Amino acid sequence: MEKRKVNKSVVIGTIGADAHMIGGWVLQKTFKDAGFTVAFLGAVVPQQEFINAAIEINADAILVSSMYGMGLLDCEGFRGKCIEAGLKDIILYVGGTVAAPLELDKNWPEIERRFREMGFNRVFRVSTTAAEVAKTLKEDLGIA
Amino acid sequence: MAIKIKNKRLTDEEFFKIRKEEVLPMWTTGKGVENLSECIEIAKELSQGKNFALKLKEAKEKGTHLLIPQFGRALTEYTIEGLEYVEANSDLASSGAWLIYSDSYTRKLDFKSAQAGIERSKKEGMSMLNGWPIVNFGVEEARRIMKATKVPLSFNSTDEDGRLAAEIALAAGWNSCFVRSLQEVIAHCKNIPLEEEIRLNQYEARLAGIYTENGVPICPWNPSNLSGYDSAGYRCFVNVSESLLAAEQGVKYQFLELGQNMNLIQDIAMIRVTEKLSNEYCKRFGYNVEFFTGGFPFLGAWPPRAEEANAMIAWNAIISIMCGATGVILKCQDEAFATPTKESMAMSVRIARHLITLMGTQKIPDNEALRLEEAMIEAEVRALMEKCLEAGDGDMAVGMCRGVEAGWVDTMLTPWKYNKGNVTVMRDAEGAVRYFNTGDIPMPPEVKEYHKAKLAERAKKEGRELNFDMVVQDLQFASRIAK
Repeated sequence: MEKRKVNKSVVIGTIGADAHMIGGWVLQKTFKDAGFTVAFLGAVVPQQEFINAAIEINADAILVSSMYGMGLLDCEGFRGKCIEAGLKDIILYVGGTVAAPLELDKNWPEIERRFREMGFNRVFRVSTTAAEVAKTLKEDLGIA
Repeated sequence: MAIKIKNKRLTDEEFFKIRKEEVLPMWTTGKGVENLSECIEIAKELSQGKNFALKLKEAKEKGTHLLIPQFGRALTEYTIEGLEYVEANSDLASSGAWLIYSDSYTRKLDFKSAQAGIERSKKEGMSMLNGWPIVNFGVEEARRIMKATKVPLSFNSTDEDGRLAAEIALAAGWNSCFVRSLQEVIAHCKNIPLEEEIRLNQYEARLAGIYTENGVPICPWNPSNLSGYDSAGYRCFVNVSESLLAAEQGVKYQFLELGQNMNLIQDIAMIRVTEKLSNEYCKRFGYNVEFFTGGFPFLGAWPPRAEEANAMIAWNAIISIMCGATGVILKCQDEAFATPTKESMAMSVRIARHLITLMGTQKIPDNEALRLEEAMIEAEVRALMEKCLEAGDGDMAVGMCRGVEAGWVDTMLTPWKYNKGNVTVMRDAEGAVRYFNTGDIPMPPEVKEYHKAKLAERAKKEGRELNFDMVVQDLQFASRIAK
């Protein structure tokens, strides 16, 4: 199968009922500065809106921000919807304060396991900088 | 655009029509609060000796502080367990109150997702929601929580429509809901027009008015939490303008709560000017309102390590205490990671309580820097208020809508699509928040110059030109930690 050509484009937004948009806003600026095309969807974004935007700009990746602790619930079924929309191999990242219970946050490998099981390629802690995310994505896309 | 909203008290007929047609049918638990007079009677009994408004009044008269930790878990048992733990492991009961928040699905009226979150939490044995889903549980469960605590409860309904949540909270003897509109669209909304948000909040304010008139004093929060990155003048304007809308609905007590930017002088000036102008404008329109003030800990990004987070908890509390604010709202060291745990909240109460012991009766002394800062905030807010009143022909609700529409009521960053976002703010050499770009705000020239001069001090100190990257870096000002 032919490998998809890297388009240097990403979709960024905050998922679910979550109104925190500043982390995503910092990310979109970093990615634009790094030469990416960015569809920045702001906050309170449903899964399908991420996917529609990804199709529209032919995105390499969807970067999901979740700051209010319910990311584990909001991200369920995301990969399935991507597959349905023909985005089987799109890179999915999630980052932020992704789980409300502190006992889960303290057990980070368990959080990683759960998101991997849901089809996410990576999950980033809230302390990760935007520059680190950009560097990682470039590596994952083979354009570092 | 024609603006239909007016800053006018809902008649009983209007209120009960909305109640029956829009509010109670939102979810099945609306049935539990159908009989309003019965709810008021039960609320009176349950809040006996732990009424939020009266506790604030008592603390203000004594010159002491009410510590206000925040909590909320997916299940009633977890929530009660948390309150009891904190009260047993700190002396919150001597002078304190709770702010209970609901989960974000509830705030968006997505009660089905909240229900799924409840079931999931039971299955996983931990709280998978970021707050207590008050609407799903309903009034009897809310009364259980009220009975379990020794201190007043206030409720953070937030987001677009907190009307049913407020009905349940007040009927359970919790003595506070929220009166806000611009605050909420900036903080949590995306698509709702301000006019509609004001309409929803008129109901919530009128509900507080009705309880108060029937012998249960309600002190709603009038908050300026906003996006976490807003100028002191904008924060103050939000409180003062909204104080008029709440007062019109018969709200007799208001808790003016301001998110702190963490500069000692500026935050204190902001809180004092807010109280002064809220009083003044309400008097001008003939409203009789008693105001209390409270400082809310920084709303931007928090540091991911306990030591730094505890430094922030202490610094935020010190600012509120030195200001003489009656309410000292607390976050905890879990802020960067997760929903607060009971252990960390108890720790925050102990930190703040010890600060009050250590600081004695010290307050910030009158000084020139403070007077200047107050004068600048006051001039900015007066200019905004007067422009709104002029644009609204004396009607604040209309003026606010016009101001947002035209972009002279504006702030930097928000999920809300109607905000123009033509202003930018950054920190000066002392960490105070200044306008880098004033957009279309009607700033008096001397205030504009003042902000410019303060930023020039930072440019000089850092030996570099001010630029937009510094605005972005400032967003992480408090969350970066030294390695």
